[in-house]
Amino acid sequence: MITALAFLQVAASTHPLAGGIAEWVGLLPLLPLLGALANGFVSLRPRDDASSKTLPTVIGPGVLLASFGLTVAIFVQMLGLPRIEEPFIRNYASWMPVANLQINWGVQLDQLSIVMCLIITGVGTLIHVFSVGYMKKDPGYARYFSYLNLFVASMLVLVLGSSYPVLFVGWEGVGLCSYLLIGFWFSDKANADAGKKAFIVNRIGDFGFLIAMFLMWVTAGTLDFAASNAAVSVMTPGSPAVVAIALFLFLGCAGKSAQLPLYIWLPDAMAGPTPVSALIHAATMVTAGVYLIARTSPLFAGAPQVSLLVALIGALTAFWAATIALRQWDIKKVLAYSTVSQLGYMFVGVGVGAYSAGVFHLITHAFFKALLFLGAGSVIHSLHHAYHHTHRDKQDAQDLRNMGGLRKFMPATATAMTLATLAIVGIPPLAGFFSKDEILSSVFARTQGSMFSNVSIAGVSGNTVLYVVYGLGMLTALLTGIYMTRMLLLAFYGTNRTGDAEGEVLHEAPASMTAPVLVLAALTVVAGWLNLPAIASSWSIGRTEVLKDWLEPVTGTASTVLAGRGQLPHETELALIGAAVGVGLLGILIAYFASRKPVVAKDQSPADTGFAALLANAYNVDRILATIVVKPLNALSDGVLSRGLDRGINRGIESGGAGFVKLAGKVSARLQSGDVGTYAWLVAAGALAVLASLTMSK
Amino acid sequence: MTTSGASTWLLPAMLLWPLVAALIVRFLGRDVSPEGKFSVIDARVLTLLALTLEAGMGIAVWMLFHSNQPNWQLAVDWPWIPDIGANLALAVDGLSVPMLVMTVLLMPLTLLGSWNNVKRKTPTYGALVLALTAGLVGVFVATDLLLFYVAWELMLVPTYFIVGIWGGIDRRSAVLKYVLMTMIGSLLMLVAIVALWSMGGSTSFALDHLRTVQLGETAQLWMFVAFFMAFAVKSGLVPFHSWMPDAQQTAPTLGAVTLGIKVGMYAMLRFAIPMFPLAATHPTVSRTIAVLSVVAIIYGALVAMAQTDLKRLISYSSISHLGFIMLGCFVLSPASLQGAAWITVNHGVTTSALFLLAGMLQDRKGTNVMTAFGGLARVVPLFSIMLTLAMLSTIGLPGTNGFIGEFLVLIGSYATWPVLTTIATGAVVLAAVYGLRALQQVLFGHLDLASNGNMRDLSARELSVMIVFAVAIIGLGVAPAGVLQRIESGALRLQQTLPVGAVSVPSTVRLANKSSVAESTAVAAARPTVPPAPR
Repeated sequence: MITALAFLQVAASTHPLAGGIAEWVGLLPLLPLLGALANGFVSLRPRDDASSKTLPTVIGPGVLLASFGLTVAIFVQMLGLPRIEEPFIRNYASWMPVANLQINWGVQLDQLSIVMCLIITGVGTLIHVFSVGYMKKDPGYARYFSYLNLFVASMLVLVLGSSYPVLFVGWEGVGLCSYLLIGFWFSDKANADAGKKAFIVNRIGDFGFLIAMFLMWVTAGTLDFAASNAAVSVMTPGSPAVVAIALFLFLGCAGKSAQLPLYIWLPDAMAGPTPVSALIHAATMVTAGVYLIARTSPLFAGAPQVSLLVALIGALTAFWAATIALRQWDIKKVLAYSTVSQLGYMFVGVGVGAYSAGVFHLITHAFFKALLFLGAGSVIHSLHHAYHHTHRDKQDAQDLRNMGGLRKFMPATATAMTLATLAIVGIPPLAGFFSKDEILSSVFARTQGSMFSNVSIAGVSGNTVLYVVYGLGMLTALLTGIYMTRMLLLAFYGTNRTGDAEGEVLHEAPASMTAPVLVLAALTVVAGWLNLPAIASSWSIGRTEVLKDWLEPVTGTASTVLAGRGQLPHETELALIGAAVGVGLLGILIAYFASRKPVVAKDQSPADTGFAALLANAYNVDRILATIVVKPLNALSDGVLSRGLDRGINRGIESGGAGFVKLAGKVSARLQSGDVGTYAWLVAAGALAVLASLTMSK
Repeated sequence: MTTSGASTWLLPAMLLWPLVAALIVRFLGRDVSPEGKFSVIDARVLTLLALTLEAGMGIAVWMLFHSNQPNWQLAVDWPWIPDIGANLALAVDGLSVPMLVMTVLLMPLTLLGSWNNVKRKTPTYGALVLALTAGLVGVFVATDLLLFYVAWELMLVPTYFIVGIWGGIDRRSAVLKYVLMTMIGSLLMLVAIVALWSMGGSTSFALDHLRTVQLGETAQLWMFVAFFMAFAVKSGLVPFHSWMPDAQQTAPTLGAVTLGIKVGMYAMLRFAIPMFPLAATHPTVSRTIAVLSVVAIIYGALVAMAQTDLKRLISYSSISHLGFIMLGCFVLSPASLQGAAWITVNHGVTTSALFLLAGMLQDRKGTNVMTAFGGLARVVPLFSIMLTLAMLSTIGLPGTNGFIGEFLVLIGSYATWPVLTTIATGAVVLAAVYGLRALQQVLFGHLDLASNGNMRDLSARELSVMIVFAVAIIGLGVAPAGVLQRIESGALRLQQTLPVGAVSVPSTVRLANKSSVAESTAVAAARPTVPPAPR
């Protein structure tokens, strides 16, 4: 209603996008929101007939496709215009008007938000289509699409919001949908627990986000992105207020985007349906932190030490998660830790001020990681059916030890998965190569003469930190080569270990599921051309740095502030590219040779020992946290406060008023005798006495 | 200001009608017959009709109220006890209108939503509910302190009987504790009222008169403490909260709901702060209260985490939320004040929805112990959606009404108490812990008890009530401006009563200057004009 109202008040604006299709930007989140409501109603109907499946099948992907179409139309309009310097802002209604704190329901369209919208609605549409096949037999089909639509709506609010609070609505909205979808099969307590964990850990990040908002308000007197970015960019770089805001905001980003130490929820989040993992926990929601840093780039440019910390945390996360991925047997767990690791790369990118590189990796990762998850979904789907067919439902359809040789049964999926694996490892000319290389070479370039030379973390100079970040990035690239190749070989190559009877029924997924996978495979191949490195200009394979130029009005200034004059010589850059590819290839080789060891079935494999056990158990972080955080907190809440102090206060008050209670006991004896009237009269008389005494006190 | 027509009789009618209706219901209403036969003059039906009429008058007040005028409106001033200068003085302003309207809308909804919660002695029950309504209305509309005091005590008596007669186990000790604790608080207040009255020449109890009585700082401090104690105990401020979980756990649904209305916090904003501005803005006082508030926020949330009974959990979460109100009240910045007033109103919406839902569980299965449930989401989807929505509002999810208040209080308090506000913000994590834990235990997981498998989902009656709450939770969260506007006019009035310099309005400006962006056009553009001062 609010939105509809606002369409009428098309303000006379001088913005180049004014009056065009971009005026309909409010429909982008509104369409999926309506879809969510419609599907919600379908899910609540007591009748369970054909229409309870057909309606969501039409509405769910339908609204996404409509949103995607609108996004493309707006994008085309933007492409046709000369460079747009200012964001296109529409305020639909006033939200919280309180004295000088005026918060509006405002959206903002610029080069960054339209790119995000394209990814969200584009990949979102593919995943919705995939879900039609994947969730076909699920009794909660309509509910599933309701949540998924709601998620997309929230995600679009997140990337379109023109102020911190509006973004925060989307931010918490996606968290809610993530919670609901992780726990989608809530009858299993573990799933519901995983959802709860995700929400609570995210809330720790949200705490940071809120404090950052308060600080921003106190410092700059505004919460709009345009105004606050302008305000912080004229402040002294590194001033305490800016540093504090950036730090707290980064805490929020680390929660949402699963960075150390708040990454712990993401592996558990795999309890949700696999398309959810693809959309929410790989392609879109978890990249919100990367988006937010790019969105507030002037803030992070004004706090170079925080930016450096972002890069360092990103690198550490990338490395940490990659090591864990080495020893996982659950195909989704491998991909989950891989996602954490790749998110780390993105943070390295935005941390060193290579915002376009971070966003570039966000895009390519959205393609190849969504592909990997959907492919894994097809595999799980197929194995699940096979085991169901042979009545061995107890077998784990997600365990890599039960796979092997699936290439024979699922050729299309296998090809796509192989491409995506090569992409994530960074083999040219696939998309992941370009984006990862862009990040790593940016880090290397910043080691000389950038803003980071002037700052340090814990006494270590900025340049040294950058070398560490670069080193960790390269090591992670090696590990990525190893764990991804291991996963690929275990699942699709070698001999099949699913079972002889099951081998008869293993099959390729239906077209509605393979089609999205193949589209993503195509994107994985070509997306690198979005942002070819500058060095490629001499190779005449296409325009270079398209994305970087596109994002220039949004992140360009901040990027220049941080990067300084750092420019790599061509030879160095070529050497870096060579090294990165070499490391990836080395990883593949290591995994290949390691894979020649025969795979032992899950129930027969000996328990891991030593470091392998540590990796397999993800460094026991969950157990450690349970011991040092969860248990003490529960003890404090239950033992010390609830049973101790609170009961103590209660007793104290009771015994303190013992005289009163004794007196009251007599009165209550009256009450118990059923003589309510007597007591009522007593009270009335008492009240009258008070009144009378007051009256007479004159 | 001239008053005419409806505006002269509306408030008196709202105060007196429930009392008249109470008599009608008590003596004409029929109790539920053993055969379950429906009667037109069923006491519950009559009560519902009476409360609906009251709600209609509340809506009329809402419509007649001019939110752009920060002054008393719909005022009447009739002599009552002329000898001592006590008048039947009624009026509303921006602080009271939202509370009044929320409360009178809440009453019929709660009665309807907990229709089968009370099925015996319904004529007495209906009469007590109506008397309680009169007390609540009186508290919100009285501008004469004696009248306020009478209304304040009038709330106590019906509550005592409602809990004492229709409550669950341990109801007597719980309700006695409630009555005794609040009585001690309100007796202190009575002493202060009388003292103030005699200092003001023993001629009038009018709020506007007593506010002008010249008092030294010490006198203000003593009287402020007396008022503060009365209101703090009534609202359940830690450490005076222990009556609240006990009473709300055992109370019938309607009792739990009405005990959850934050009348004490309204009274704090209406009386304690404007009457004793020197005390309320005294640095020691405001620091102490800020610390107490943050302790309450964290303490309430931590204890809520350990509860096994759904009603007790709601109660402790409400104790935690009280801390936010208190913090906002005494920071006295525009955002924090409006946030505090916002929570005072909206807490009534959210907590009532939760107590109603808990009551529906209890009516079905006779218990509110959360572990007795589990896996209900599949059995009772509508109930589950409503419980989730209400709980999300408690957690403060943006887009719900719960977020608005917390956000405004915290952002408005940050400049004054950065460290305390940061600690208070930590409650967003704890709220998620207890809120989701409750949802988890009741709705998710395996259907633990087969007997829960045949639980009825919300009936049409229950659903229609809960839809009103759902619309309120989301509607107020998305479009709070209408209510905020009214609150703002009241908050402005309040701020004018405070000594110059005590109000931390320009805190953002001050800090902005320090960080050298005051000249920035962006900042200037983002700070539109402050609404014009009244008169």
